[in-house]
Amino acid sequence: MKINREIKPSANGEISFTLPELDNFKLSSGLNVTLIKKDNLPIIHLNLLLNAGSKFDPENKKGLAYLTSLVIDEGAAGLSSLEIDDEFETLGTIFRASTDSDLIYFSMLSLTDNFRKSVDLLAKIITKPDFNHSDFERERNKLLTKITQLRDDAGSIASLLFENLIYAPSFYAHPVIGKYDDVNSISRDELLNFYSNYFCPSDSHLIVVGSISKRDLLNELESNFSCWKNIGKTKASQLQIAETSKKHLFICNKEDAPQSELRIGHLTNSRSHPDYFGKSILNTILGGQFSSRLNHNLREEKGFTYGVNSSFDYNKESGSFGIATAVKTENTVDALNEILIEMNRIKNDVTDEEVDFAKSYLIKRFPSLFQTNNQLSNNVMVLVSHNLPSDYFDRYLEMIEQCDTKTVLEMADKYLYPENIVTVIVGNKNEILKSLDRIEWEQVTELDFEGNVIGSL
Amino acid sequence: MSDILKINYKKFVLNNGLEVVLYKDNSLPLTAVNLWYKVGSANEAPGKTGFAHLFEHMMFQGSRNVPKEKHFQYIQEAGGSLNGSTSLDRTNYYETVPSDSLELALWLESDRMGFLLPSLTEEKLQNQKDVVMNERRQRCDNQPYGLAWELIFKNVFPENHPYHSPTIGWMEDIEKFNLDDVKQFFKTYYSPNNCSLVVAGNIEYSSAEKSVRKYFEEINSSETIPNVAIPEFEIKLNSEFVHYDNVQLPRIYLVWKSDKLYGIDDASLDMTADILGGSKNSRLNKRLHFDLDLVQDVSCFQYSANREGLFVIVATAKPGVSLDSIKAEIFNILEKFKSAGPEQQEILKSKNSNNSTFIYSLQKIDGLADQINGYNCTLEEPNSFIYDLERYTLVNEETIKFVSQNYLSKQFFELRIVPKNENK
Repeated sequence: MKINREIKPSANGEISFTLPELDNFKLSSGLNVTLIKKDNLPIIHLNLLLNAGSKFDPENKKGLAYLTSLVIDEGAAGLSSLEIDDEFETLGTIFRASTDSDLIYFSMLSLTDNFRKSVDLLAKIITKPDFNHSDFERERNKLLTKITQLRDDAGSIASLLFENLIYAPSFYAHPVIGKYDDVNSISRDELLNFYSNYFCPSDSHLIVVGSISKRDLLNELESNFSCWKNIGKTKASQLQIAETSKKHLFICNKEDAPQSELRIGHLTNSRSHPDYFGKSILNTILGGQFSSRLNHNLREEKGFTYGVNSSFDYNKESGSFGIATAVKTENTVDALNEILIEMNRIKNDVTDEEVDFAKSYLIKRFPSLFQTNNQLSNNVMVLVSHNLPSDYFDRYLEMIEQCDTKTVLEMADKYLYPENIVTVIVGNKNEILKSLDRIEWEQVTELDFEGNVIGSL
Repeated sequence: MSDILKINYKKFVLNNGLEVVLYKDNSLPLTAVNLWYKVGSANEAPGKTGFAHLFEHMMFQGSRNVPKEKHFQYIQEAGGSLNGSTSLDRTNYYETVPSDSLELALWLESDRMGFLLPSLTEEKLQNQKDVVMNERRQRCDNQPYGLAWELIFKNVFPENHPYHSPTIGWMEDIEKFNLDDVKQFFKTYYSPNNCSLVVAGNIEYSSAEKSVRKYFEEINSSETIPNVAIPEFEIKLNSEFVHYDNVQLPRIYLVWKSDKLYGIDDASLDMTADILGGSKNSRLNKRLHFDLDLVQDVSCFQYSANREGLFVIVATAKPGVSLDSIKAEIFNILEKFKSAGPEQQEILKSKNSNNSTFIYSLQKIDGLADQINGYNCTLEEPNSFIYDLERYTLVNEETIKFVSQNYLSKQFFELRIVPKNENK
């Protein structure tokens, strides 16, 4: 039997999906815990979030939080760095320390059978770090070299310069990885201080997802973490961000670069604001996925780039809107103009079809965001980091459903400012300047790789 | 543990030669559709490098009943995710959709398998050539050390070897492709009898089989798929190639010819690489980084593809350290390892990590579907998880000693990527 291929098949059958249950409790040490029991595989994912990100780096010590996260697992309770790593590897446990501007977090993925020994090791690292002199020196040197290497990568430079410009002069402006001279001046004592000020249980959150009962988990955690009694320092937030000014172009020269790395955007409000859902739909249409306006225009029509995306990114206390792409050098200015055209166009013109598509995309993909233990853990991390209500995921679909074309136009009006964008280009300066319209772009400044002003262009 | 790795499945072959594997896992309302076409950059003719990959892009440009850009849009609208990728030996395409949209994915995949050509235009090809050239710039030309891999392949594999050129292709070749190339490639390789389809996730076997038959059974096959000739070769001389790049630190790559994927020594070589450079306390990292502080990073891996394998050591020098001193120390470590062999604890560590990684990899249905398809295409048995794991269980002190002596004593290729300002 021949089938009629002209007709797109419609969805067929029922989708039933139940959100996993969150069990929240507190340990005697004050450590907050969220458990999601997930039994399909004999594995457990654990993520310990500490309120100790790079925003707490002191003046002239930018990089202290990150360096602390690098040194902390280099020796604990008398075990050397290599012994700790050997133990994790022998257990088949993956352990990783990460730092962002708000948090330091330690994630661990282990087999259920090896969970007890893995937690024991993790607890040693968190509660009894040795911070040996030689380990400290080695890791600091490694970090200094890593900072030097940053300038190899045009994409990273562009992102760091962009964040630096939009968040200045706040504690979100400097790179998590730190500044060379600052890191060079950090002493071991400063690291110890940072540890005792910011690594405290009552200000931390442990997320566990996997095949383990609450009782077993409680036993493991109480016996391993009850010795963690650090009180820490009271943290007052002092977010200061400069008002957005007129549109400004910053160029960082990379000679002979075959492509330009572009970052374009401005500040936005925080994640917990109820407009989040409308903004998500707006961004889905503009540049949040493959079938977006920006990707259609810059990639599928013009062939300027391999890809372009836009996003609203959120810190605990602020957020940013940004468009990122890498384009062939000779198309740099054209690409920039097209991006501006799209930012302006969406403020006046959004179709019902586009809104329906974006809502369908966000709603129907929802179950796929709850597959792996790691995904579940990350979802809880979003709740914790941004103080979202505990029924956030229960209400997610409803909140998206409520938005319509009018909402999306309001969001575009309220949250996109093409007249006030900061634009960073890392690329071949002379080639770019040749085709730049100087009436459109009055303020053009050249920066070096670290963001220091070289001069006006 | 082997219980979890026992995958139940149903396999059948359509009259047109399409192999189909169904795997049922109802834990989430998701279904993965995964196709492997047995064609990759190894099938490219001389002067046509990068074509298998460019062709992959053309597969997303619409087909007879699917307008340009709609493939992505339809799947995304249904809440699915999708992509494709090209390697030396195969090209894969995949969608993960809410399970009520299985037919949508099958319709899209079958339309481009059977009816791609009517929708091809010069305009689409020009556009995707620009996109791919930008992909090359972004991934290789404007990346630190981004040309390393293609320089290794170009220098290690002789000119008449199908692995001689990079999968992304040389820029001048990409520029030259025309519509006839696309049509010919499609007719030759994109045939049901050169493809394997896996449908995995929230399905019922009978209805999934019915849907697959409905969309794929009427597609015709091409007669014969040309074979790829693999010339025998050895690295005959220790040779060195220096490339000057926009980087801060020099990096050295040492490359030996090794064994291919699932070859008799592949697992032992893999574990040797892990013991030498796969963890903090591996031989190379402990000595070069912890004891001597000569390197910023060092790693070691066994890269194995269907037709050949390479054993690679990579080290980045600390500022002021010469690559010569690093190379000398690497060979000291290798010589010691070759004569004394690994310690029991090192083998245990490597095996345990490998076992866990196997279990962790079962978490996502799209990855699982791809793994099943890889097993089906390469080993002709979709449920090869236990076989694959056992290859590693059988590795021991003797096999590791054997492969390190046998392979790492041979001639090798050496690539150095050095900062431009050191080009004197």
